Amino acid sequence: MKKFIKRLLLFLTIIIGFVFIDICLQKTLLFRDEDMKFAKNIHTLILGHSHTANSCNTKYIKNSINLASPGEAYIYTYFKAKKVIETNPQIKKVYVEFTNNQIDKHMDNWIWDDTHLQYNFISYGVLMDYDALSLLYKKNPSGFVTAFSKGLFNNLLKMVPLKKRKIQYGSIGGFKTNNQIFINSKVTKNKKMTSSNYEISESNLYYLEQIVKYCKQRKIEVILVRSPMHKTYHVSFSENEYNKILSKKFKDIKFIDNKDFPIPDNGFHDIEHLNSTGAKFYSQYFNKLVNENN
Amino acid sequence: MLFNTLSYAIFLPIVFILYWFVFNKSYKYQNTLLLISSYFFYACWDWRFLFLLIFSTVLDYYTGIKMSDAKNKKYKKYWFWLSISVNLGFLGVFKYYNFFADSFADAIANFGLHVDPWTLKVILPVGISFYTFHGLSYVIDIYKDRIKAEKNFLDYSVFVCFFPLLVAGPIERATHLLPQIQRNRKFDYNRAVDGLRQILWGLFKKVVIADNCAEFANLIFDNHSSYSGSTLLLGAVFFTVQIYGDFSGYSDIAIGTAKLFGIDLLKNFAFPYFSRDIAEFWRRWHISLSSWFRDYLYIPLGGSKGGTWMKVRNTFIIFLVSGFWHGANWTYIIWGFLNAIYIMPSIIFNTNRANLDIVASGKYFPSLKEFFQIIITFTLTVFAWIFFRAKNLSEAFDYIISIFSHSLFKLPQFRGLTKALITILLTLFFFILEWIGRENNFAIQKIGFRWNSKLRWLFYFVLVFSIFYFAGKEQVFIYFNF
Repeated sequence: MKKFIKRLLLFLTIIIGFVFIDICLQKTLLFRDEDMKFAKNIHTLILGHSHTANSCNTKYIKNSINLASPGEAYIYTYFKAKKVIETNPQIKKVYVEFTNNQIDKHMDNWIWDDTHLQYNFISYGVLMDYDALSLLYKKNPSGFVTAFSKGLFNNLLKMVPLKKRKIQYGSIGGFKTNNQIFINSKVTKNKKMTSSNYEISESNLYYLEQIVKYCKQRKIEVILVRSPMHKTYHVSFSENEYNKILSKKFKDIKFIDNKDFPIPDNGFHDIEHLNSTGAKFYSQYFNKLVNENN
Repeated sequence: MLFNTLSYAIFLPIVFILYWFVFNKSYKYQNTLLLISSYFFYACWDWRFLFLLIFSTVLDYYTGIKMSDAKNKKYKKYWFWLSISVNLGFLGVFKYYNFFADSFADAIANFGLHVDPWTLKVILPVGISFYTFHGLSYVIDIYKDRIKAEKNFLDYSVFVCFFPLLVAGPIERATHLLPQIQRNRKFDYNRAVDGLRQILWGLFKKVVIADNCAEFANLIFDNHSSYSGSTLLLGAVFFTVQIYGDFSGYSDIAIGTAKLFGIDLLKNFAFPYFSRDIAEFWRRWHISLSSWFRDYLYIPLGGSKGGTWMKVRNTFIIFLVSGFWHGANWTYIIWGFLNAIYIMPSIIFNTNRANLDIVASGKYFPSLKEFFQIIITFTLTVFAWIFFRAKNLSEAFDYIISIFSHSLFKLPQFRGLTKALITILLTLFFFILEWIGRENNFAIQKIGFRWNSKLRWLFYFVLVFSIFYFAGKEQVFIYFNF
């Protein structure tokens, strides 16, 4: 029996040891301060999901960095933003996408369904705190374990080039070029959504509040932005709830509503996303917005 | 509580430690612990059905004693039929009532009459088919004077409720399991290590192979009307691999767990997809159920003694009953029927025992003839599984008809093709290991025995990390539904 217990413990210790060392390596090497530091003139951080990733081309927006990432829920944005702000004290303004679909119950899937969890956890799991980790585990235990395990190996590979490297656009967000032009048939997708019963994602909103709270603590101005949407995009089914949340939870926060910003049809990729033409047009306007007081 | 969950990973070591370090004074203490743990294990699923399990245990225990003590045959018969009727009655109510009510209504509708079937909204108690068959074999063995009734309720309860086999088998026999429960168990290092190895392999089969294949099998079966023939064929193959990985994986974990407690359970799978004919397949697939039907249905019906006609009749009966045992749906009955048809040539021409040995024993590769035999047998089982997986008969027929369309020769197309390729590679790796280990009880039982111990450990680490890294979306064990 002794031999059995001894060997079993040795076997488990090797596994746990590997996991422990891997996590330590991830914590120290994955988001090294020197890799995360942006140029001194970058004082504006732009965050959000695909709407922002497709609309804010920082080539046209001076002194800013766009770290929006498609399919990203606020929980992941929060931990990413925290790390970026910590290592870049020059950041004075944070623009966060706040649009109708981000209050939708469907956002819960963006937080903990298998696909989103795996993708985002591998990127940001190491930055997350106990509460966030336990939320993810509670909501999707098997998905969490798989995401955690995948993170152990995938991030090991990411850490291999130990030399100084900048966090690349794309790995934690950035402007996404899209050259496709809006096709009318895609409108049907939105029409289907209007018939659903409307429910709010409290978990997603909680982490938007956390972003706001954290920025306030660090005396950083937070501005909520709604990116342009095509005129055929119907928000009426959620607009009441959206406005209620805005006035109740974020009444002290500046809000810029660009939903109806005049973008021609050929500037859209679909009803929710701009293409490169639209992004250029919108980013030039956004540049003025960001840099007007500087 | 599922075998592939964190709760089981906590439960098992606790019971193991208590069993060998706290309750180790006597096998009676150990049995008490096993019974409490088994009830807890079962109650984690649904505590209300624990009473049904206890009732079924008490009934078979009591009728067993009554039959043993019976002074005349009539009295013995009375207790025997009481037990059989109550056991099958429960199974009938919980598992088959709605099926019969609906089928009756459908049959009446064919004559232009309409009746609203009064269906029950009941959940199927997990493992009811397994523990009922457990109890039935015990009662039948006593009735046939093969064994004496067990007087110790605790020992008998552990025989019925031992948690590794409680919900999905293997279906044990009193002659095999009870003697092990009634003697002191000594810790055996080699058996325990063998058990851990089997648990590891079972988890790999379930989590990596079955759960990944399930994702694509579900996708393709659930949307079969929009896929090409080749994709549907691939979907059927995915399900074929899924059900094997799922059920044999479960059995491996169950058998491996029992070994940790010094108990050997019956073998349930013996590399069935390497079978050279359907008769061999059925000697290698769900062995504990096949042998149950052989001993308690086929042989009492006359078995092979009454000539070809009787063999044919009895074979059809056991395959149809076996199909029905799996579930209250015509798809399972047709699945059983199809397997009976498959096996018929070997029954009629008396070649059903032609392949009793292990294929290509002692060789690396099978002969060309064996290879083609394996491929043909595998293909036949793939088609039979379509009925097993389909929701209803029309879906199964649609599925099969769609396979045999001109699109059968197009490349399969579906969402997640890259992941599917990874799954196919993992499945190939899995079947290679299964082939290498086919002469043992489970594939990795002796793999690496001649290697350096560090290399062997590395192999186990690779399996452990594969389980986590390649884990598919968690799926409930298929046989929990039966």
